[in-house]
Amino acid sequence: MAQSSAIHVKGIGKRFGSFVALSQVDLDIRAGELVALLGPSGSGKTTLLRIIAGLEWPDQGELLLNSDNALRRGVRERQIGFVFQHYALFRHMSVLENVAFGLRVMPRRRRPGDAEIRSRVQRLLELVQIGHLGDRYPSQLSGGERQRVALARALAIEPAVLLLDEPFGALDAKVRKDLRRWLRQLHDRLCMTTVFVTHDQEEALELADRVVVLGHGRIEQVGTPEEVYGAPRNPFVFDFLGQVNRVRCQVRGGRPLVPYAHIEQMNGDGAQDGPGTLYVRPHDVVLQRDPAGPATVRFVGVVGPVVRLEVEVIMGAPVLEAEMPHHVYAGYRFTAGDRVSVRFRAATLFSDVAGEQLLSPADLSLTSAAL
Amino acid sequence: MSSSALLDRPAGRGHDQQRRAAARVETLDLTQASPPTSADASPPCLADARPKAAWRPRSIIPGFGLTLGLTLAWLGLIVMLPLVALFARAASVDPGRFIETVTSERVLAALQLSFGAALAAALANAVFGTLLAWVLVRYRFPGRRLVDSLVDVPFALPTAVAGISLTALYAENGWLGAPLAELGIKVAFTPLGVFVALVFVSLPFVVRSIEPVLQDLSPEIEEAAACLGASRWQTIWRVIVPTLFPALATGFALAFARAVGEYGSVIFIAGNLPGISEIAPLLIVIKLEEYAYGEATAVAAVMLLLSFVLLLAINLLQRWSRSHLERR
Repeated sequence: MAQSSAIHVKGIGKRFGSFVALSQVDLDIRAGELVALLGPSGSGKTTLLRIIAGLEWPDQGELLLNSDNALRRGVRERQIGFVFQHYALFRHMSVLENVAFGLRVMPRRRRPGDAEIRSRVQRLLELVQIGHLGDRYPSQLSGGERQRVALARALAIEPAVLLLDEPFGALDAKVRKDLRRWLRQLHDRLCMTTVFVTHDQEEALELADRVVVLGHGRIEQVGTPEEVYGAPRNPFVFDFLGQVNRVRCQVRGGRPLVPYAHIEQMNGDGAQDGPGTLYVRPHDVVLQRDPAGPATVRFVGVVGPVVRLEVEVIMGAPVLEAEMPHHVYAGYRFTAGDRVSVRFRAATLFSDVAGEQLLSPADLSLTSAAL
Repeated sequence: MSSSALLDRPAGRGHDQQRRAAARVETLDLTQASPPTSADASPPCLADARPKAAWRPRSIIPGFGLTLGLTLAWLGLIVMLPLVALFARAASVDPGRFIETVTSERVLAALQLSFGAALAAALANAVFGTLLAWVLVRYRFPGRRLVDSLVDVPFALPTAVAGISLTALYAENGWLGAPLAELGIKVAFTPLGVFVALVFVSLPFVVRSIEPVLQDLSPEIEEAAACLGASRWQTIWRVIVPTLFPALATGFALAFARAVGEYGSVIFIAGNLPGISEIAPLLIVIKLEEYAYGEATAVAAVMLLLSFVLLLAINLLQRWSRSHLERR
């Protein structure tokens, strides 16, 4: 198993004082894979990345890079390309020299000649599409250009693994989208094992082959974007990925008691009787005009790719969010105050585990704002 | 026409010029394309918005004229006037006499000691001051704040006090002087003593110039260098020192300037043997006490000139390092 994976993490744990940054983390990343470490701040995602790079040392566990015990090696010997969140460019060097740095500091017997360095750097700059900026200084570049320089600099040493810490965190939304697409294309061309850290679920789901969802220093779920979004394994992943309605309910005989809504498809492997929570994506909430219906439309937002509605259930239950495509909405033309019936196309049920702290509604709205 | 005048302000950097030229062409095209009525209406409004002088930047902050005037008046009164008076007085000295004075063996020896010891002290502080600043910024240890405030003591201590305590310490029967004397090293009453006193008084300048830059230097920079395979040594020489260099040059210049002008602490420890441990500022005082005002101003004028040239050189070096360091 370990032989086939580019990065093999086993039982890694790390504490900072009394704060547990990582506990018992196991992870395998295959060669050539593009993997996202996704989680809220404080989930340990950056710590894990820094441990892989050798910028941080775990308290326990083992780490193999291409089947080689990496914990025996310092950061300099690991041949890791690391792109820092704030680029960490050398501001007294031109773009060319920044990219050439990794080649210039090589031991003399391995160091390429000056002409060779120049041509390699120029090729890299062309690769990241800033071939004309070689003589500029970092202070003369935009954020997106700096990010490209940082990437070219990391690639110059022909790293075994490329690690990126919040690579698009400091860029504005438009540049971020462009760079994201471009990074995906670049990865497909280079086929380099790449791990990036992000707190932006959209970024992770759009860019990565596989997404590793981290929370409170543990891995909550690993899977393809479809798997983690479509079949979250636990409430944490559900809360963190995408927008979701959480409906508190009682579970009886493995079924939730939700008198005001019809549930078409129930997911979740058998919740225990007692208090539980039903997770329903807004696009799985189906509304139908019904004068005797149990809910009232409170808000209709038609701006954006889908129509967003807020529905208040009359029997004291929560406000539900629903989404529908514009063409479906056109058939109903709901307005605030309309009475409707509610149907859940799909819903997932989890028992409330005593002591398990769910994200607060404030966190929920934050995570949904990102989508 | 008016719009091109507006754009005609001096362009900052070379590569900006092209862009601006392009922008200018666009703007001109636009004005040509616009209907004549609006073009006729715009000049008075543009004329109002135009700055009064071409070199004067437009700013929403008022009071530029007033503050600049006050600044220049203050600078003239406090700095320029005494300097002019010095040169006027020096110019009234007979040229032959002037040359004879400043080329006399005693004066040359004093100037050499003053500038040599000041440069040596500034250099020593550039090394150890940087180290001190590094320790203060990078590490957290008990007593750090105490050490931090100790750095400022040479600023605050009357220099005579410093001189007397240094003399007591380094004299042949002092705490440090006695063991050093056994090794055959004499500090007090020698040029070495001058150096020690100058190091003492100029230390804070280097530390305080470098500290803020070090604080801004993010650890990520060093981590990036390490990831790229640089050794600690390569990181220090290729990344940290070049980044610090402008601040280091500033600290060096300040320390040097302070050391050249230092008088109080040196005269106690130097012993003031003419030609051996007599510094130039003391020589000026001695000349004054002998009522040889012409000779005193001659020495002073030479000191001033030398200091000016050295500070200018450091400044140019600093500017060069800011823009051309990558070619090293």
